[in-house]
Amino acid sequence: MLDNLPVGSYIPRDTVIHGLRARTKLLLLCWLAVAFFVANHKRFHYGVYGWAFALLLLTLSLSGANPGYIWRRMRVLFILMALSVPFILIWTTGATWRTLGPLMVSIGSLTFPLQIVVTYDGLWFAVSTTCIFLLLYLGTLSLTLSTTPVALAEGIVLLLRPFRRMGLPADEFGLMTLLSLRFVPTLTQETNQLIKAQVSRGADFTTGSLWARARGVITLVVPLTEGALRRASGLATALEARGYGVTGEATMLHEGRMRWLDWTLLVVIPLITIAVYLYL
Amino acid sequence: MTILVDHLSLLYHPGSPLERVALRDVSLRVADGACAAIVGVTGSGKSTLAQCLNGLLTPSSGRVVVDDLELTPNGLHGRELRELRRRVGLLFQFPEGQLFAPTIGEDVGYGPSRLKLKREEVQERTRWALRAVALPDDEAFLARSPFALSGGQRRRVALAGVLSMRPRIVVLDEPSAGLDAEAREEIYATLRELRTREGLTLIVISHDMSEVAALADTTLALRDGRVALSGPTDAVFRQTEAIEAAGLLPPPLAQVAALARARGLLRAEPTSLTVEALADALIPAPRRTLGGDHAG
Repeated sequence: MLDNLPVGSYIPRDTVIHGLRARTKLLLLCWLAVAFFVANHKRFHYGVYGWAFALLLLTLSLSGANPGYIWRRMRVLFILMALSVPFILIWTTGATWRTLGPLMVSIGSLTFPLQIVVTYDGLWFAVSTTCIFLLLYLGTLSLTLSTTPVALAEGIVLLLRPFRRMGLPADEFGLMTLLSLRFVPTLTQETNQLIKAQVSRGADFTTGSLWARARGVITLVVPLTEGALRRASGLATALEARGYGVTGEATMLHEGRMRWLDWTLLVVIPLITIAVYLYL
Repeated sequence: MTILVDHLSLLYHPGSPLERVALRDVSLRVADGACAAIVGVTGSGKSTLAQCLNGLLTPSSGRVVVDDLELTPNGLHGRELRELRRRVGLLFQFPEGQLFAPTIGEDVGYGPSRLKLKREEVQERTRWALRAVALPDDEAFLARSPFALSGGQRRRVALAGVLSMRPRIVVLDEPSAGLDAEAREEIYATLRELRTREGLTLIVISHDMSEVAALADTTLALRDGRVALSGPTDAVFRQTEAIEAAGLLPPPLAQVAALARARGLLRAEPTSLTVEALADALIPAPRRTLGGDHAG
C-alpha cells in the first residue's frame, strides 16, 4: 500500500556520482539554487538554466538512473506547474506582451467584458519559475538517488560544524536527521501492518462516507503516535545509557575525506556558472 | 467451518528484481472446531500464510477455501472479500498496538459498528466478546481507557476486538509473545474455552513448542516457505530429527517421551503431549528402587 513512498529513494550503485562526498553534492546544490534566483533577475536570459539542465541531466545519467523512474517521480510536479502557470501569466503586471479579448463573459444575467493581458514580466516569471522548480527537483533527486541517508546526515553535520562556535547544535541536528531517516522504513512497515490489522477487524479505508473514512484513519493515527512516542522515549533512554550527551562534542566513526574530484567540482562548477551568467 | 489451503504459493514483488518466494506449495486442512498450529523459525513464512487465510494477501497460485468462498490468484472483491474477513478473524502479533479508541467499549465494538448493526446489537456483541476473553463486561469497564490496562489485559481486549466480528475461524499470530507466565496461561485458557464453548476453529502461530503441544491437534512446520512437517501434533513432535532440521526444538515433554521410548520405559504411547498423559504412559517403577540406593 505504501510501496511508492518517495522517501528513501536511494539506489545503490557504484558510479562517479555515488562516489562524491555528500558535502560536495549539498554545496553544489545550494550554489545552484542561489544561482537560479540571481539569474532570475536577468530577463529572458536562459544561459544559467540551460547550463544547469545540461549539468543535472549529465549527473543523472552518470548516476545510472532509469529515465522511466525519473519521469514517474516528476509527473506530479509537471501537473502542479501546468496548474500554476496560467495564474502567473494572468496576474503579473508590467509591459504588455499580448492581449486577449475583450471577451464578453456572462454569468447569469450579468454580462461584462473580460480582457486578459499577458506581460513580458509574467511570461519570464512563468518560464523561470518552471525552470527553477524543475531544476531544483532534478537536483534533489540526483542527490537522494546517489547518497545514502547516513552519508547525507554526515554531510549536513560536517557542513554545519563551523557554526558550532556560534552556538549552533550541529551534531544534534545531524543526529536528529539521522534518527528521523532511520525510522522512516520502520514507520512505513508499522503502518502497513496496522492497516492490515485494522482491516482484519472490519475497518475499511477505501469505501464508505467521508466520516467513516476519517474514522478509519483515526484507527491508524492513534496507535502510530502512541508507538512512535514509546519508541522515542525508549531510544532516548538507550542513547543516554550509552553515554550520549555526557562528554559534549561527538566525533564520527567514519569521516569521509574529500577527494580531488570533489574539490575540482566545487571550484569548476561555480566558475562555469558565473562565466555563463556574465558572458552568455 | 473448515478451512482448506490447497497448494498455495506466494511471491513477493513478482516480476521485479526484489522478487522473493515466501510460500511454496503449502497445503493445510483444518477441520471445523479443530485447533491447528503453524510453527517455524523467523522468516519461514508463518505470518505470510496467516495473511493469506483472510485474504490480506492474494496467493500467486493455489487457493484458500472457506466453505463456499474461494480465494484464488484472481483475488476476491467487495462483498466476498469482506465476508471472508468476517469469517476468518486474524489477530496480529502484539495486537495491543492496534488499540486506538478512548474507551474499551468503543475499541471492541469498532468492527461491529462498521457493519451497520443496531446499537444494541453492537453493545451485545461487545459484551459477549469481552466475556469470551474473560474480562468484565460491565458499564464501568467498558468506559475505561484500554491504555490503562496491563499488557495481558490489553492483548485480551485486542482479541475481543477481533472476536466481536463473530468469526468462525480465528488465526492468532504469536498470541502469547512477550507476556508473563500468568498472562500467557490466561490467553491459552481463553483459547481453549473459545474452542470448547463456542466451537471456534483455531489456527495458532507460535514459537513456544510446549504451548503448541498442549493446544493443537495438528501441527504444520514451515521451513523456507515449504511444508517441512505436517500431521497430528504428537506424531510431528516424535520426528525429532526432522523437527530439528526445520530449526526447531521439540517441546521438553516430547523430548522426555522420546527418551523414555528409546529406553523402553513406555507401556503405551501417551495420548497427548501433556504431563498427565505422559505420566500415565510411563511404566511404573517398583517403589523400592526409588530412593532405595540412598537408604542403602
